[in-house]
Amino acid sequence: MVEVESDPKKTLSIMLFSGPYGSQDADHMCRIAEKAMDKGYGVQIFLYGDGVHAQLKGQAPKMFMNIGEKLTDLAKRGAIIKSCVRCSQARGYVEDEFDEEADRYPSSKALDEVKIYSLYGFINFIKSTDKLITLGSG
Amino acid sequence: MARICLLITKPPHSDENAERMCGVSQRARESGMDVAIYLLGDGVLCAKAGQKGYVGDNIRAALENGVSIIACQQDLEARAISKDHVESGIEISDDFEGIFVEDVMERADRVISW
Repeated sequence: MVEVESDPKKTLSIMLFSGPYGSQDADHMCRIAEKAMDKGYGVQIFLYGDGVHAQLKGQAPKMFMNIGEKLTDLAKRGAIIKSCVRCSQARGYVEDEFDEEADRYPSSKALDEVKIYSLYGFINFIKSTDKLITLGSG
Repeated sequence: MARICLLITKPPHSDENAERMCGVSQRARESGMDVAIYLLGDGVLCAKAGQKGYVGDNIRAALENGVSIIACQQDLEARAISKDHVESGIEISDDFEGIFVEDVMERADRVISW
């Protein structure tokens, strides 16, 4: 294929529906996101449904890619990562009302790099993204 | 010409996802669109040569009709599928994510994933 120069202003958004280890979906998400960042694109990730389990602190898989560590690395490189508050609440992550200062729903169980947010967080991703990929079963 | 990227991460015969992907691919091509199919994860099982049925027939027809099909080398190797057992005409890439991201961001008008 012909090499194309990347436009650094372009943004790729990925919505993840699956949990981190029940399938390869989260693994694919991390691999695609990493490559997009390597090429200079902005990356936004929204965790939805069981996908919110990817935000759990202290993941320690023995045989698989550590999705929590990958998300932390991606966030440190500039990826914006949000998760759905309703999905997070249903799975026991949310501990209080929205924290305006932190710009997230508080959770001691979720990675600090992931902002638990309303679904408007995803709508804002759609408004600001060039392309959207969905991964996993909804 | 409008271009669409189709990403499939699901196997060809366990559910309807690959069939849906093939259906969209066929209609998009018939509508004059430029189509690229990306096989990732269990989606690489769609690349196996000689498959009977809807998916196998459609993969071969897509290749004959000018659809680009790219399979992830890492995921083929993980499933012990050698190049000899991949349908002729399917490109095997060791930089699958790089090619996919570049296509999606720079060339494609739309991307659909299963």
